Amino acid sequence: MLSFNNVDFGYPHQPVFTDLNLNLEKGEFCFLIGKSGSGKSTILQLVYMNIFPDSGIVQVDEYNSKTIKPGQLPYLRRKLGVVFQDFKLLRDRDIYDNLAFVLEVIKVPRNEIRKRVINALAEVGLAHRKNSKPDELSGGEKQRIAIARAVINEPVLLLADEPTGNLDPETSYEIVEIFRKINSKGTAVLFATHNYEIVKKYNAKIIKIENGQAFRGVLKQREE
Amino acid sequence: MLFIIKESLKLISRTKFSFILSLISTCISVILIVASLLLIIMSDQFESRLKKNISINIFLEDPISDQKIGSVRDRLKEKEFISSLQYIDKEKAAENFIRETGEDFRKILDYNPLPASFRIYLNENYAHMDSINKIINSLSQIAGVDDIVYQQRFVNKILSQINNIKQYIFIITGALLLISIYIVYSTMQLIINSKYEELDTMKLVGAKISTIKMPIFLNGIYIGVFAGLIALILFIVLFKYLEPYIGSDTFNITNPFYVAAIICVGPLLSILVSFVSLRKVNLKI
Repeated sequence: MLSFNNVDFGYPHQPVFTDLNLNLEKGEFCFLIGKSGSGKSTILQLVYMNIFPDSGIVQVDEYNSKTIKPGQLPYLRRKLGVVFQDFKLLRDRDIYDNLAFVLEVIKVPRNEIRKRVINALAEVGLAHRKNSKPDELSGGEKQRIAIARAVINEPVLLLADEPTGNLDPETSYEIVEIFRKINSKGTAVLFATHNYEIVKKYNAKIIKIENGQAFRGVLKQREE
Repeated sequence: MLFIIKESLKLISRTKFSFILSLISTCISVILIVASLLLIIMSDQFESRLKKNISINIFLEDPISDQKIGSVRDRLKEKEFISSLQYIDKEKAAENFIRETGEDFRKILDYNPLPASFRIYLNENYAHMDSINKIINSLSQIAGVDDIVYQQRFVNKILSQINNIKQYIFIITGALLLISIYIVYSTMQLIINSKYEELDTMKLVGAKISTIKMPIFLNGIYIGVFAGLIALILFIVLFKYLEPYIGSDTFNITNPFYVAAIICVGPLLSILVSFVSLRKVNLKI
């Protein structure tokens, strides 16, 4: 469902990846680990095709980085959900509108929007906060809303870019649990983090980015 | 489309400060543009009035028969460059001379030395130096015409001044137009920059580029319409106060054509500026 084939990518005078290869199957949960600056966020950007490889191919579902047209980008992104460390909620509207906005943008019928917003909020345990403004929520709550927003569109792949970076350990585990729950319903998750404590706790596929290459690992989480 | 209209309206309440700021800047721009266009229209009217008052005196041979005077009149009436003509006979010429100079030559002379003449006024299209020279040349060919006199230096000066003034007005208008567009453009950039989080979110969740741009575009049109209406009201009030000085026949701001034009300047300006500003918005996050 997601594959990087011999991907080279770099910024001017700063190579990032050389011959990068990785795969993610449908419904798989994968931690993407590596030091800060190793290129985890760059990989996510390559997935939602905000940037394109210098050479090689990124394949996301039926979309190919070599052949995708600008007009197809919105349709690719509708198949993805993205969660960021800094939540990226719209502060000028309440939680309900933050989620409804996503569906309005892609022209989901009105009666359907209400149902799906309530379901998504229930999924992250925050249905009672639908009328709050983002600034009235805690960091953990904001991140749950960000997750609800990312999954409301029923994506095939959920991308998480350091989603626990701003959270305390306990809330971080709660957030990972939400991702696991979503994953258990069939959505693939690519979870970028440098928090190895979290990675150790879960039995999941791990891809480590180091020196511009991806290394596959299966963790002996609990033993470590 | 409903979403786009809804978002564009919500944008007003969500970005009150930006909306008011854009409204003020667009309003100032509309006023500047309309003022400069009015300046051109009014300077044209002034030029037209001045040109219509340029007169040429055609002195006839003395003595001259009535038949020949009629023949000259007929020839003059054929000329398309003449908007009106006035015949001044010898008696009228004498009266005019005495009135203008205060000297009654009839006390000294026992005859009237002043010839009869025609005073012609030109169509404004012909009231420029090249044309006037050709006209004089053509008039002097008419049988019965003795001399042609017009205030050459005065007319030359007026015509050259009109040209100078018009050049300055066009330069000022161009500068005001550029300033106006820049003011609205800067404000539009501020709005787009203040909305970057929302735009990024829209891009992330799969909004098409048209869905991202259209609410801002529509919002710009609302601002333009409001700005046009405010500018119209200000101009109506201003002209009401200026009417005693410029005269009501000079310019009627409530003429439906001018009303529509002033209201349209705002949206047109907004459309132009939004189009340019939003060109840079793409699907890159």
